[in-house]
Amino acid sequence: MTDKILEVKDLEVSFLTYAGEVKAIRGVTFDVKKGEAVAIVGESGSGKSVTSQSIMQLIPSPPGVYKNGEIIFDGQDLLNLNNSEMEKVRGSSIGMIFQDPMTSLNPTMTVGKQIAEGLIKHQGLNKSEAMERAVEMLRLVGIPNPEARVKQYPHEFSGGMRQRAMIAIALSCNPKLLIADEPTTALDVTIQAQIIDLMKDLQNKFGTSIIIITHDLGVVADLAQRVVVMYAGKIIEQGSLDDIFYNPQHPYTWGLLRSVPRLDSKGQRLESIEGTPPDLLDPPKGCPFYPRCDYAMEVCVNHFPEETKITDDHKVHCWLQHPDAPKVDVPIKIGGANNEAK
Amino acid sequence: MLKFILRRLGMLVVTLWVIVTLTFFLMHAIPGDPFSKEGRMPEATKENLMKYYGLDKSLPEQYVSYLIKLTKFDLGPSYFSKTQSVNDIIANNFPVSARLGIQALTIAVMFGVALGTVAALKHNSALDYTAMVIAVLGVSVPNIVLAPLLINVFSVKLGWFPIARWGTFAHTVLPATALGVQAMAVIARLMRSNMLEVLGQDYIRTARAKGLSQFAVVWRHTIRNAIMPVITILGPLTAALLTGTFVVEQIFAIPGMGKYFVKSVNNRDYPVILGTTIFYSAVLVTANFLVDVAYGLIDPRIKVGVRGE
Repeated sequence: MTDKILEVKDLEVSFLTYAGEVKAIRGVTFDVKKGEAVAIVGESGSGKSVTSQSIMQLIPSPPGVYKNGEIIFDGQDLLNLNNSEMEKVRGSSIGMIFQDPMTSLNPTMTVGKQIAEGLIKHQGLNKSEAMERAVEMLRLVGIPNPEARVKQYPHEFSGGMRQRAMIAIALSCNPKLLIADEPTTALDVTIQAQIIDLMKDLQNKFGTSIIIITHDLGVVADLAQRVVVMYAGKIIEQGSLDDIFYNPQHPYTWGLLRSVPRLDSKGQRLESIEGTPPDLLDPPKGCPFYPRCDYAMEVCVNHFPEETKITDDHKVHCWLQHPDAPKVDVPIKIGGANNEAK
Repeated sequence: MLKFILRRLGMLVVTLWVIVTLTFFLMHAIPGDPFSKEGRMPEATKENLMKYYGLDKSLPEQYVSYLIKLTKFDLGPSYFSKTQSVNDIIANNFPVSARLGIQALTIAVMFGVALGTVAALKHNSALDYTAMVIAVLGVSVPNIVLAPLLINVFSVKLGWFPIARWGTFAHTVLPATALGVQAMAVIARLMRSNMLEVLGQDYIRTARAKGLSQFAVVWRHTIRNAIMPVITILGPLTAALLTGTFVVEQIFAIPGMGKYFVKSVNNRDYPVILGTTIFYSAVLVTANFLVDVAYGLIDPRIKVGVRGE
């Protein structure tokens, strides 16, 4: 018996467009343990969302195609399931919440019905039982007066409440895994904290595993136990929260950590990583980050580095790990702001 | 809601009054009079006729007396059909046109929505292209061409339906089809583009993420949100189809109302011009009112009511 709820192995997903094949995910391997929260971080276009939607097979096809790989969830490869088998997994064993709660709920259906739908489909409840459960779910996610709210339409909910309703939908069938695709990006900062707290609460209560997609490192630090850093469709570093925040190994991870605005950096320009991610229509042969990397070497241009294990859990793809590579000084105070507080 | 209905009724009256006024003065601005087509007519006879119908009075006088009659729902006599008043013409011919129109509308909505939905779901497939070719043909082939074509194929060659005239259900099939195809094509194209838009919405992805079947996603989440613009055009479409059309009714020799719209103008049959116009407007405004009510039922974001209520 394994303690892993999800194993993604060598996943490759492409989009066939008129311009050519966009290789959105190019060999992604990671896993999620039972009860664990894993954060996937990276810039826009790095493949985070495609990875999460691939797990649910929500990639529109065409143009999306699964080129290679396995997605083993709870012992079965999801990519081998047919449509109706996959429908039984979606919403039942895996719940998902999305970035924009303003557009993610059907405007012409009451919130209660939208929660009840999944319950009727997956748990065989009848309509009134499902509506009772919907009320319970709304109460669980902290919506006041759920008996009245359940009959309301999404436009009568505020943004934060809609995201709570989305969480209620995703968790209604008590899934083993919750995928949250930038759940706080579209919300006010104060609401963001509430939503993250709610997710933490529910994770503790039900032992749900979580994959959270975000580019907000604050959210990562708050919620995740493990972090996967993606760049240009590849995982370039992954490890525990402490590994990534206190012992980052990849120059891109350094850049990400350095880009976090800090209260004590008053008067200085915000740090950023110069340049833009590569075009995935024609991804570079070597390390995709080398054009923006301050430490790029000749070998980086044509050869993607193999995985180096710093520890069993902390893995990085970077030529700087090679014994012959020059030693470089990590350009950030290790651990960023948090470290000084420790 | 009651307040809303009353207000709309009030607006209906005002709208109709504006239409009556405009039509009244416009039609009198057309040169000629109802009797100029009768050929040579003794002056005295003509004068008598004009006097009989009150046409010798000044225009404002005629206008006021027409409005007074109108408040009693009396649309006046027809100058040409000596045995029928305008009320009789509508009472006798509208049911025929309405039945034809309802059947045409049913065909248009059922097949239009189905065709558009299927085309959108099978986007960029052979099915989509076929549906859209049908739709483009439907929009571009006028019923003056389509109707004889239908008669030739289904009546003359195959003998399935009667060639023309009015009576049994079989008589209605071809004219209703000829009448409905254009509207069907419009609805199909509208439905397809709306379906495509809705299918790309985030909440459709949410519905899929719940594990709903394709059918449930389309039926419960997509069609309801995509059908709104179709409902919008249904108002004018209903009015146009229900009150009869000249071409189709002429080709199939159907005793509907369509011919009166055209003939009355040619004949300067003033009361018939006014009567049919008022009737058409009333149907149109009523249909639009029903559409507005339907909005509120389908989309909860739209509340039917008076501002400030």
